[in-house]
Amino acid sequence: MAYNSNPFLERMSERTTSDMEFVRLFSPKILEKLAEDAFEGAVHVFRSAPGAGKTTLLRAFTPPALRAFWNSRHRPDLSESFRKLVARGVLTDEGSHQFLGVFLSCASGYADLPSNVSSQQEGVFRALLDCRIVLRTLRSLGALLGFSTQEQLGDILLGYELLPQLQGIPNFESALELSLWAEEHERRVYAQLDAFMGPPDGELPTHVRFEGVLWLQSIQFYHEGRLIAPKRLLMVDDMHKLRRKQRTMLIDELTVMRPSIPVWLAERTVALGEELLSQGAREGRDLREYSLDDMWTGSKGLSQFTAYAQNILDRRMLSQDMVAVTSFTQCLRNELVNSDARTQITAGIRLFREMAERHKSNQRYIQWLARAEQYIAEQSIESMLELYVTRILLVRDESKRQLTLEMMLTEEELEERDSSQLRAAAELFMHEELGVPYYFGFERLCVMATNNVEELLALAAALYVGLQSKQVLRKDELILSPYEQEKLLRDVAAGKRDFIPKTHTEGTRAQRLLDSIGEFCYDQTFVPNAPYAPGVTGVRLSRAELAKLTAPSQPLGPTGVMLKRVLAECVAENLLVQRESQATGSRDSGTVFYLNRSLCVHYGLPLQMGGWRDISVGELMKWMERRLTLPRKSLEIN
Amino acid sequence: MLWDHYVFRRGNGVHDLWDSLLRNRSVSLLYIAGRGFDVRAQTVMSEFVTGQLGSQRLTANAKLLLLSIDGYELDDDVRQLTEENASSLERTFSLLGNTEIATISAPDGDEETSPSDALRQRVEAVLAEVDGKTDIVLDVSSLPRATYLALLTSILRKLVPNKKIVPNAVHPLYANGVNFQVLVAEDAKLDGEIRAEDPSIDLVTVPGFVTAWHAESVQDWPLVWFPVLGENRVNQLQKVIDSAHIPYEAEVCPVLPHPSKDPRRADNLLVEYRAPLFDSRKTPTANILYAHESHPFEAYRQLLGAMRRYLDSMMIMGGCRLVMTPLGSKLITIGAGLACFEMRPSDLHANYGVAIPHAEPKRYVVSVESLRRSTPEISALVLTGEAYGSAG
Repeated sequence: MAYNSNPFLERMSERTTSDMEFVRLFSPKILEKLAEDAFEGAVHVFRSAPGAGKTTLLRAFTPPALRAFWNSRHRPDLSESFRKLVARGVLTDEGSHQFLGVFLSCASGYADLPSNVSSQQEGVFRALLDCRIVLRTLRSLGALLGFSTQEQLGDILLGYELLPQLQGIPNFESALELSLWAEEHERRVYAQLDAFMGPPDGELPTHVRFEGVLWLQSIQFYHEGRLIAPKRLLMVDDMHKLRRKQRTMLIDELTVMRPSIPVWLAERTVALGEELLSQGAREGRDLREYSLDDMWTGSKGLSQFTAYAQNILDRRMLSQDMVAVTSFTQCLRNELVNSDARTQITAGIRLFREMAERHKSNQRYIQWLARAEQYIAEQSIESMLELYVTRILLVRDESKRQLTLEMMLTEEELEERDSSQLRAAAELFMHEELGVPYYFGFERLCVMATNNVEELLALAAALYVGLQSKQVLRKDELILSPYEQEKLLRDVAAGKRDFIPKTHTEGTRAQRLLDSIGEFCYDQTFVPNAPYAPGVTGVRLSRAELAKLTAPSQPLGPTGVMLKRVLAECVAENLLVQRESQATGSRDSGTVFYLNRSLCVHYGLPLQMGGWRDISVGELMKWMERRLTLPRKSLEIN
Repeated sequence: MLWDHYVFRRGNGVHDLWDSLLRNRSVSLLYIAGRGFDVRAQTVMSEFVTGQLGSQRLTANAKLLLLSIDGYELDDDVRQLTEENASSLERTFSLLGNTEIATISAPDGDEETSPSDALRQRVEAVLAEVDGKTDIVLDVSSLPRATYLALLTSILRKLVPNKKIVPNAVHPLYANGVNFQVLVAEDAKLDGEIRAEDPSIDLVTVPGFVTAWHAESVQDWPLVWFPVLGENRVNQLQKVIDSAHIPYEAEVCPVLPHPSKDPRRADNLLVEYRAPLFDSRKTPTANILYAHESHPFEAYRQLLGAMRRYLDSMMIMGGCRLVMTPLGSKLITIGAGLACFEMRPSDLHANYGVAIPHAEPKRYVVSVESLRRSTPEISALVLTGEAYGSAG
């Protein structure tokens, strides 16, 4: 038996934590984001990068988890989940016997069915899925009723009044008989697959349609004379593990079947493969698609994700007793203190003076420089930021001066030209030039997670190790300073980048491509006049460039095909975040590929999205094969 | 225990073994090797062929089945070395017989063949050649782990369909006198220097050991996981963990190489695997198993013993799944493979099962210099045949 030591390293997905632990760590905020129509009879496809919370969401609707939610309904810290589930009609105050969630994973060998007998293989796939739906349904029913042995299923009677005639699933009177049939059926398939030197006793069983879904939506369950679990939900996870043909067949046939119960299919975005770069909507009344990655985008997205993240991290913090703190956010200092950065302030003032020296006699900047002197006198982090803003504005004005009259610039003009983007760029420049921490604080931690819970937990795990060290060293204050946070977070970001070849199928090429994009963005960001403030964190392919990449004739040859695959994998794995950019008067529409925010930390880039530069497919192909290296420029104007 | 008595030789002892095994009889030989970059296969074949061309040896017919495994990402110099290696193997074997290259492309993302299915097809191609042979040699030196484990266990299943030892009857390992031997050019240090990267998205399950991993009906059985640890394979271990098939309540029993030429090797591995095994799961250190680095039958005994103990304890809970993930060096992996073969139930309705999931890498990174510099020691394991001809 294993015990968790760092609560942030534990993944909540299928079966890796106990049901009680799952309920304790589950953040109900995700239920708020679930679409209203998700419980209607239709096929609902949930899609996201790994770690966005698909399996966690699905697991919450399985009988053991629902029982645990119901049992903990009176606990103040857990009652919110219960209330939200009641609001969704999943649980009632009286009990949890009305709703039956059936959870199946496609990572169970469907893709390994023999491919050399293709026509038979489709039938075997259907037969295997059908008997697993039956088996998991009956076992889930046992869990719903709190049965401890399989034999107790004999107490459940099956009613066939509403069920159409099925060819592949027999009509047994009791759930136990049907459960034994399903087990035997599955074992026969596997006995023949495992034998593989030739089927020992005849053909593999095959079905001509997905009868398991028809069975689940119509069968009646009776226990002690009462009808139980009239509401059903079928959840099929890991659809990306299916072969392309199997996945298409399952979605298409289920959609055509128009199920009367909700069928949730969850898959990683990688299942779309290269379709990702040219995806079109195929939604309809019977097929509904939801992107968990996009759940947190939009105007309120970040604040909602931050609340969700805080909830998740605080729950995990409560589940440990090594560090004597109960709230994760309490452990992170959100602002810099002047005393932490004395050396950097002195260095910053020196750099400003050197730069301002050549403007000293220029009447145009007299007021700006006088104000800068006041900031210098203050010697604080805030005044340092003002000096950097002034410095960028000086460079900008200097570069445009030929076109303007040599009039004195007032302090008001300085303020007018100031903006939040400019201040963000100034903060980043301070970080780059002076080493003043930039990647710290809870909100930025959430941004670094790129809307992904797994990434959030990986970052939090590193910070937790820092807290553990403080506890071990008996430090007075269990709070991580901005410097400490930045060091730990940069280490995680570097680890993420280094592990790309070890964890992704086209990892080595993906790493070269991402490094090159990072290098390119760095080069575009750290320009003295900060032209794309706060900076560039993505590259854009115009519609015309994308057309070259996705053309069926493959005009770019094998390298183009590989680039398409690498880009699709990077998007699917959340290493690149895809956003559409609309056409304007002067430019074509296109797709922006933003770097993952943790990778932005590694490349020293800002965390805001928005800044991108156009790029050609040819350049990306070169970068994928050979890492781009550009000379590092100084932020000072020579 | 099937290999309670066993035949294992290494170094110069291998030639003595071949002399006693192959002298003064007509040999119908199937030699299986990989068409890979690992030049250690040349050493093994050259030693074997030289011996077989000696006096009092008679080769009736011989075939080299060279398994070509495409789809790996290799540096140019390693790719070139693969070609040189293949030419050299064919040239060396031509003194005994013909070569047939069996090619099965490793599937990439778009194809309709999963890695496990491709492996199954590869094994089927090899098994089709086994009938009628008196001697089968499996040289694992340049074969990927999952491939040689699949070949090892499936050839054994074909030769030893019934594993039950009956007193005063012919030992099951006699296998109608077919001598099946596994040859390994072992250099644990070099194995540790070969870096496996870009693991495939899909896990490979060794054919014949699928049910316990995938069947829905056995998913509620308790699971005992034996990851056999080796250097630079943390990412592959993580892939198995990420597959979510290893539940939180699983008993995890890491297998470490000890004794080893490097006495710190086991310690270093513990440090390397700290995050996935000890930080996130806090695997009890009492669960760790130690297996001799260069003695496969010792590893076999250790693992088989542990599997049986766990099976005895877990049967009270209605069933048990025993899962082994091979990440260690070759000899330990072979020992672990033998244990899995022996533990695998023959009965369809047995309430336990054995599975071998593995995350195959798509890229190998290794210095050509290290490969050329390697001075491996040849080991030979005779697994079936005349050596086991007496009653059990």
